[in-house]
Amino acid sequence: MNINYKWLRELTGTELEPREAAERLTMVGLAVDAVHQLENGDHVLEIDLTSNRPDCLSHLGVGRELCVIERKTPPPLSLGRESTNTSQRAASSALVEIRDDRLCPRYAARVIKGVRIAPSPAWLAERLISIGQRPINNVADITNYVMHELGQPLHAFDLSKLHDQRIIVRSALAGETIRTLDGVERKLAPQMLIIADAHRPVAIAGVMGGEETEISAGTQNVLIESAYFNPDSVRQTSRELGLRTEASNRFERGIDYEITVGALNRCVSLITEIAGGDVDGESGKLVDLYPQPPAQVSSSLRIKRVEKLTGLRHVSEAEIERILSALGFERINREDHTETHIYSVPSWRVDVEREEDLIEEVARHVGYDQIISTLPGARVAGEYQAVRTAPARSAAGSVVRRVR
Amino acid sequence: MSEVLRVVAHNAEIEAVAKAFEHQFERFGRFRDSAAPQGLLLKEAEALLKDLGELRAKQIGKKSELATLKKSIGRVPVDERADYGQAVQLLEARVSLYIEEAEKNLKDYVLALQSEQQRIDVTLPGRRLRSGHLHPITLLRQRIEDIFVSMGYAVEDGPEIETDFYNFDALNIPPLHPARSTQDTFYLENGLALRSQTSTVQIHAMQRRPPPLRVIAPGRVFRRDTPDATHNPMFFQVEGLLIDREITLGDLKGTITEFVQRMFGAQTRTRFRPSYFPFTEPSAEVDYSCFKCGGVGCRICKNSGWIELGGSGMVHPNVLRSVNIDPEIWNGFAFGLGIDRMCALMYELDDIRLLFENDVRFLAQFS
Repeated sequence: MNINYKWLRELTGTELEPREAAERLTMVGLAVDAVHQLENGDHVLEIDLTSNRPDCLSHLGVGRELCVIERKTPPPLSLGRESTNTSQRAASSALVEIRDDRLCPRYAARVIKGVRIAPSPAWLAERLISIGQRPINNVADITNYVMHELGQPLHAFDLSKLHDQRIIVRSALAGETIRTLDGVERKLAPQMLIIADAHRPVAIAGVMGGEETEISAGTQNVLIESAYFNPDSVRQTSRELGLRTEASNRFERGIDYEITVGALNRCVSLITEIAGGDVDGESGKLVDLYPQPPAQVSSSLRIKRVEKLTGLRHVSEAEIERILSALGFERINREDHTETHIYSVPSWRVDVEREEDLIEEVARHVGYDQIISTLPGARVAGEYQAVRTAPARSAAGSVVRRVR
Repeated sequence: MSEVLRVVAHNAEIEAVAKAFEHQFERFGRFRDSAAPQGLLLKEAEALLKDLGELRAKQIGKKSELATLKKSIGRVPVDERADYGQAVQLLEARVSLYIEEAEKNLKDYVLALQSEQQRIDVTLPGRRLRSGHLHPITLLRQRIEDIFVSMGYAVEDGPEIETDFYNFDALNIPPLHPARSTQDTFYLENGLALRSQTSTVQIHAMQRRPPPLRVIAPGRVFRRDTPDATHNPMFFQVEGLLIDREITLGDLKGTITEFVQRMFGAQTRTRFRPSYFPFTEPSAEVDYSCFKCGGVGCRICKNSGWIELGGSGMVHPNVLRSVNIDPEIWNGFAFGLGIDRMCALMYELDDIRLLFENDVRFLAQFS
């Protein structure tokens, strides 16, 4: 995962130099393998992310961690945190219809008319290049940019190429094929989720868009898609087709349910700023189909358990709360005077479910270096040869005998 | 008359025999001098000796010329018989002498050469029996075992081929988790797989021993890696597991630090960084300060001052539940150390594959 330092600094206001930031991020669990300096003086941090932190597959995610480290308020990304009272608890509208809401629990879209496709401005192209991305055209680049900024993969369709100018989110039918934007003709299988127009598939949901509806030099009207696709479905489709993309990678691990609209709006606003276009009127309105928002996840945390599990002494209750709330975990039982806190888990943390996960959050931000080494008391003498109390049976053992 | 034999005889037959002998003895003549055989090859001398033996038989034996001469004394006129007899005797004596002298010198020479060739230096040391010795990984494993056994750990073992339960389910790795992908794990036709970490032995150990327990499990693990200087599809890990009451991360830190200091010296430091494994929470990656440069930075530690040791963490409650241990009563820590790289670094090997190729020339250096 490549993070552009200047970009990160813009989002967070960090006062740490690149190498310091790299060191501090590593010590909270975001291992920075290398810091590269670019020709223009900028820096890129190469982060080796563990698979449980898809929320850090964006500058916003990494920025959030950095803010907690520096005790700053989290990135003002109301950029991405916009209210979703515009969302419809429905599965279809004039523009978009979701036919399988288990595989696609949320789909948001906006239309921009009259854009001018051109190469991206220098600042945008440079930023993409610095993190290893290839600029294509302004609209496509902006969708890529916002994905790397906020973690929401976005896709732009040429609206006029969509039959009936509408989107249907459904499973592929046997025999359907699509020519993806890399020019490869692919056969689709019935359990794969696709984006289709009124007649045919136009994209493999969460993986790659189709060639026919891609943005080209003559495109004037675009439809921007911002959605949540089921991680297991995307993973399976991606494996079957042997197609892995930045988008599929993020969807597979679980993106943030609640950033869908904010990211879409951010993308649209950048497009109108850079490529022009009109979002007024009925056609420019947001469509957000979100039939069944998932239940809020929460977890309890027995305060005493922090010390019991980690050996960290002198971590006050206030400090525990500060760290967790800075990370986005809101205390939902503050009125209770109890030694068991209950925290809501933010929508972007797919890896936190239980007390131990919360304790790890506290421990890694207090710092593992603060843990004092102790040794558990002796119990019995060691053994060089295990003393078996019962014969060990394993399935493997019986297979081996059969083979012989 | 006969110059060589210096026998004067007034008899033609005697003279003829004398002359004939002189002629045949010509090539042996020089060997009447004891220094003469020097320089001859053994084969040459043996051949000469043989020929000389044949000549002797011809000249002096029963059917020899001399014998004929002696018998012919009857044909000699009576008054010449005394001279005849004397001459023949003298001839016989001279011929014998010459042959004997040559034979003796040649024989002595041959004997001397043969002795020299067959000589054994009995002061040489005897041939030693070659003995085998232990593989460097075994040596390292034993050292690691010694350290942990002294801390009360039992050495446990488990199968290298495992079912889904031991490889994944019990280790809290859910069904569609990337760790199960065929990209990383070797699957067998019947759905079993080669274990990709020794953590499987944690489960076996907890099934065999009720808590509290401390075990380490050294063993082979298998991952789909392309072999290169730092990776091999088969390599070795040492797993450790401790389950007791109220165990903390501090205990984990202390245990690993103790181990590392016993391995590399009391000045060795450890560094724990937050990480992620499905079977531990909280999880940590452990580094130790470079044993070569002490942390200053060198080739061994790639100038960072730290060397990676392995992964660790507090055992995830789901793992405890999978073996029916109540995480509210018991908890503990686990760690997995990769020992091939440690071995390669300690012996300054450029390529860990050397440890698995079983080239005797390489292994013989560790005796």
